[in-house]
Amino acid sequence: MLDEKQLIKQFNQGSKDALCQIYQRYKNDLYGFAMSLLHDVQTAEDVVHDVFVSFAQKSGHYTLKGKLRNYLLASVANRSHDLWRQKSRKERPLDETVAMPTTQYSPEQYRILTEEYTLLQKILSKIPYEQRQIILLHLHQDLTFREVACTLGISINTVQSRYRYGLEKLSTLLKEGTKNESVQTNRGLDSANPA
Amino acid sequence: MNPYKQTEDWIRQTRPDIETPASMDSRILMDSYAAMTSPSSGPVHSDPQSLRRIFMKTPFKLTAAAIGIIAVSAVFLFPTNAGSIALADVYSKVQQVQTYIYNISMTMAVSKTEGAPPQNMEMETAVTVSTEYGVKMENTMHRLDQDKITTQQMYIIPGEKKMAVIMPAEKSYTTTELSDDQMEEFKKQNHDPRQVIEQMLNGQYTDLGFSKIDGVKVQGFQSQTGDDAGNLTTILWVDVDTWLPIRLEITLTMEKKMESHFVIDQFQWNVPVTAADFKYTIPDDYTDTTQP
Repeated sequence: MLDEKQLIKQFNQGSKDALCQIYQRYKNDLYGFAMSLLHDVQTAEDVVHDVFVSFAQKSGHYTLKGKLRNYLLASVANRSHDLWRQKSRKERPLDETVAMPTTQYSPEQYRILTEEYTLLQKILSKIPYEQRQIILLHLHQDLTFREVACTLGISINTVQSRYRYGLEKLSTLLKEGTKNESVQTNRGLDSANPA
Repeated sequence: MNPYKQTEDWIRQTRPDIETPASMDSRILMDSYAAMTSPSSGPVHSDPQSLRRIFMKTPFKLTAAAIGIIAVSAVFLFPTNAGSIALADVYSKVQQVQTYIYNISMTMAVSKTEGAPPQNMEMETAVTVSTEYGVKMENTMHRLDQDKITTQQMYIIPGEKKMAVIMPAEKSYTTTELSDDQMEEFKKQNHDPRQVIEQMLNGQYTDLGFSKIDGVKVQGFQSQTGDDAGNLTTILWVDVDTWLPIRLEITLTMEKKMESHFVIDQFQWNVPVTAADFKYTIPDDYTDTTQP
């Protein structure tokens, strides 16, 4: 397997095979990240589409700074933020946003529709986007706080404070969830509830 | 002590296990390759109101995706070059047709990774197109790995600016309102071979000479192009007496992970149709599953 520098070199020379390898390497992470940020399969696909088409346009003059994966994750976060703001203006009800009819999913996609993931999406949608993306980058994409700060172009103090506020809110929402019969049926909730 | 450790652990464990579907991979790679070859100056954003997006929100999306593969591949893979007078005549003739019927047979094999056992699919679609009354598609899809057969009907009615998809097996249906722009886009879309002929005309192709199909003397044209990312072969057979297409064969391979073969034939040109041929009825016991 080629390392990132070699891949980027070939990509800059116009190799479609290099672009394909980059796509295959990161597509699932980027798609899952966009799904968790936006709670919408089709919009998540569009985000990954736009990010890769924009990236492809940089062939010939792309300069790798840091990790390519982090650059692509940042691109997904930025594009998702644009779409999230557009969506927020429409003020769609939360239940409508997270209600995802299973008929639109392929078998591969269906696997993610566990009750716990649905619950996570629901409570994530109740915290500010800026906090949500940091929590997902750190806990789902395994970026350190320093990498998150570098990726998003903000200070590490801001990252840490947003992370803490977001996590505090999520913990409260989970605790409230255990008292609410409507979400109590979600298995695993008890174990997730902070002591 | 970290008071939120349990919440952190739970979120980590709830990381989605998801794989991108093959139709998404095809779309993104094709568009990215095209962007690599012809980078535009501005940002590229998916149009949420595009007809393709609307198709992909309906249960007809697999058919739309299959047809889309032809179109996108054609746009990407055909290099530009001067056209041919003979093929231009065919294109001109087809453009004059007001009503036509044809059949699409598709076989597709998709592997998640190179060398993995493929998922096989067969699809038959009967298409009726009228510039006045709209489009009707009747689709039967057979997923061989699941031994599952599904049938669907799709109608696009310009007068009503509406698209309807009916699924008899599920006793359900969806309807989608189409704007004026979407209707205009629809007219330019490639639910018929005209788009493919146009792409051949704009690209490089070879004359295959004469042959016979079902006793009819035909002339063939072939385009073949590709690179390390994929290969597309298109063969068009034209009736030498009417200068109208009689058979279109398209083979597309991508990344050694997908191979699809389309045969578009059983053409009937300028057949008489009425508005009633495009009228659909939804039984009372069918459920509306239209997504918001």
